[in-house]
Amino acid sequence: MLTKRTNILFDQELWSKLAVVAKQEQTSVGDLVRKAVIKIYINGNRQSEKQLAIDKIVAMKPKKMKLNYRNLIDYGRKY
Amino acid sequence: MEENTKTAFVVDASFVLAFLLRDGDYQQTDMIFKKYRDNELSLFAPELLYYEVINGLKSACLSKKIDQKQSNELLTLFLSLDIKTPVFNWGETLLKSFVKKVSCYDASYLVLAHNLNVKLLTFDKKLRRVLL
Repeated sequence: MLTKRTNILFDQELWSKLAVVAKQEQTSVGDLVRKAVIKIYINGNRQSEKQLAIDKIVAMKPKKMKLNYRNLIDYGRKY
Repeated sequence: MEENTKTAFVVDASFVLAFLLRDGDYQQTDMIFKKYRDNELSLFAPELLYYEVINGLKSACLSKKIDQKQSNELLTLFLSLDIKTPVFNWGETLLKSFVKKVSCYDASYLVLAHNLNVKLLTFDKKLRRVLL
């Protein structure tokens, strides 16, 4: 539910462009702003978390443990 | 949905643990996860993956392959991978477990891969035999 209000100031050029996009997509400028916020600051953060995690794992030195994964998973279930 | 237009795989705990613990064929796991990082492919798993991976981390810790601090760090990294867990059919899982003579745990990976029409990536020898 939309319960929080804010005022955002745009210059005329950006406002005009947003208004055109909103009309094309049959929505409001407010809706476009909300979607952009989710894309950049919410989903974007999750994406960068994922990227950082993968880079960190890849940078770790490989080990030759020759693990038996079934044993590893089953062992954890017992204790 | 964007994810359905990309190449996708189902990954099991053995594949994810090999990546996290830097063991086994890490070149293959690295290649897949790098493509996942770059949004060139999508990865899916049943919710079971999360239980199996933390179990695997605990086991690796109990068997002194890693210490408890490392297991916590690896858990955080694993959760950041954000592998999606679509809802799937429990009835099919039970049926598949009978047909393929595998546990319902293993069957859940097979059913998800079948339903999404994608390949299952695993280092589990038993599961690999079933896939042949």
